Amino acid sequence: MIIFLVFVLIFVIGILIYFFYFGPPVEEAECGLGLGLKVLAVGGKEDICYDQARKEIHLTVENGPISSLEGVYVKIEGQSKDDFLLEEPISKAGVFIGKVPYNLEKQGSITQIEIFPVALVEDTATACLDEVLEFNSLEICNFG
Amino acid sequence: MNGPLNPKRKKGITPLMATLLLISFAVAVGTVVMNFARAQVDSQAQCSINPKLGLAKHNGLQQICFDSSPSILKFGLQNGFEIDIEGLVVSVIGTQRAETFELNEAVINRGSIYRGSLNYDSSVLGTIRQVKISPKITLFEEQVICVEYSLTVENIGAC
Repeated sequence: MIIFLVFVLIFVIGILIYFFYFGPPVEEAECGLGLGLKVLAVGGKEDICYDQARKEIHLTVENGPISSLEGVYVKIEGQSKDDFLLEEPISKAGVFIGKVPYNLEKQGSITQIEIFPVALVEDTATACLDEVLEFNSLEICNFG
Repeated sequence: MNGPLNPKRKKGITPLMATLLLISFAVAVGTVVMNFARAQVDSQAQCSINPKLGLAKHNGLQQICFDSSPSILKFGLQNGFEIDIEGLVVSVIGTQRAETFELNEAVINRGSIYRGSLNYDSSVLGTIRQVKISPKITLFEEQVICVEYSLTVENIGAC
């Protein structure tokens, strides 16, 4: 009996460690809220680009008018996979500029960027999988 | 002759059971319809009236500029003749950061002009790339932000 309990304890601790270190930094779910997050257009172009000087992805997102957000969750896929939780309250219809550190020379090219709104769902910050914004190419920033 | 095809054998549900079944069926259908309708209303929570908000003009010049000495963004807005505006959501997008201001005191009656100003710290936020102003109106006793009728201004000059 004691051996069984010890195994259960090890199993539970293993799961907790797995989720703490390897799990996503935020809960992921289909929210069904119709938040209306979008990448803001500046100068007629969607404002998402790679800043070569700062070695970061620059993105400007605009929240919809329905609900405030807790931030945005960004997943990068390419030669290396990475994800970032940008925690910043965004009010209804508010705008947020996110900067995601990424070194194209070291980490390799990017094939896809996914941006998810993070909203409070049942008091839990949740990345809304059903409201993803996807980008398959990234231009070099030119703030001229 | 007591098999299932015997016409004298009358098996069915009682009137009470039939009533209960009908009521539960009606409740189920009603719930589905209500949820569907609510989802439709939420996803289309947009403004059905365009307030026609625009920048006010003085001597042909649009009234928006950045005053760098006290670091203030100044603007003048002209409401159309459709509906009263009961507030504004103003987002100022800089090269470094963006900031959103909620101006609930910015009530603009139909056909009226509103002059406002915002503190903008260009040392933190960078040079202004865009200003986006969304009007708030009341529709069916509920205040909504009309993002689809927002006013977008770029290339803002010095005052």
